[in-house]
Amino acid sequence: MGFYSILKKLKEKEKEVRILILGLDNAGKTTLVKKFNGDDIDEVSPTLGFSIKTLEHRGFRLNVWDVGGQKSLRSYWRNYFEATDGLVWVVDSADQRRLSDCKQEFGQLLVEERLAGASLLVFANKQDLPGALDAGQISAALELDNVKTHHSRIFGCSAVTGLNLLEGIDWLIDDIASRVFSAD
Amino acid sequence: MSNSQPARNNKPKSSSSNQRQDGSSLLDQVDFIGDEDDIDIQSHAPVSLFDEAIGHIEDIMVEDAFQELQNSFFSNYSHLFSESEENQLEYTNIHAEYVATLERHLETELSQRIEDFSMERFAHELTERKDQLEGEVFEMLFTITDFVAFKEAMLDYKRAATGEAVDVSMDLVVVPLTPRDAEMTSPSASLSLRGTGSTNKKPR
Repeated sequence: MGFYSILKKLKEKEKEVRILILGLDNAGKTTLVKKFNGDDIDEVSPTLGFSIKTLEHRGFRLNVWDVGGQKSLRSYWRNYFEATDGLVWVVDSADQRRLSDCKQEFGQLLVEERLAGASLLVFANKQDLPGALDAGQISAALELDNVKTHHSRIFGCSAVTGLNLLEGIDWLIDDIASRVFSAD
Repeated sequence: MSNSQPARNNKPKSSSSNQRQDGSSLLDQVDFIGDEDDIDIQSHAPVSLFDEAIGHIEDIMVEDAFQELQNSFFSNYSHLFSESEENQLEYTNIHAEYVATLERHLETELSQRIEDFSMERFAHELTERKDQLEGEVFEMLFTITDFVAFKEAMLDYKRAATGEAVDVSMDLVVVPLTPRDAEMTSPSASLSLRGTGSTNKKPR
């Protein structure tokens, strides 16, 4: 391990938190970040690369990495695992057709060694759409109860209305803070 | 030279004038400069690998070789970077390569300047002293690892390299007049968005 990566780790003392947002394409990752940040969400186009947003929230500096979710891009996700404090998995709760796809990709992240220390927040997004499964149903589909590798929690949310975004992110920060910044 | 101490008088390539103020004694300085005579210095003030390495890193990072390394990276890749907020996936590989290259360079240089340099041991000392990592060197090191700073540097380089003139259009602020204002001013100025009651088009 080079000393750059160590330096990076040491920067944690400055209350900087790295959050990685993943999920299938069209799950609403970018919309979610924009909504949380108070940006306009009218024109969000599919992410083909990645975006980084730095948000100040409750005295923390959140570095939010939003990476495109299209199938051809998923093999690149691993390039963004390093030093992640919080993983946010976003699910399109109205897309039941691809739920098994979603579960499979999710499962692969759980066994990823470089994400082992990360707190895991699942957003069952698009609760504003008719026919969306609720958080309990998504949790069951992903078998969240069986996840022992991460501290995890699921929230039903809507990136469009903003429902539960704050609650979810607050839980994530609390969980990260209790692990990483417990000395303060 | 006595064998009782690890040899520390390997000749530094660059000035060691900025030996750290913390704990390095005059004896060390003498030892570093003193390659002309066989001054046998038996007792070194204990300078930790940490202090010694940080002093050297400061030197290395301002040397031409380091700057050239950075610049060649920028000149090779800056054309791939765009101002868009969304980043292309390949930027990540380029950044990783950048960090690895600079790290390799630092490590090589440190091994030449410090006898028995061990990156592992140095990294360990860094962790031990994480509350002391303040100051310019660390800012520079952090900046290298930070993707956003890296992208900014790339774009700065690109702007400078392409001699991009200041975008004048940004200085022209077009302020739409409200209908009320439009009525109060001369017709030629009535550039209201809806063009209420005016047939005026935007000049030119």
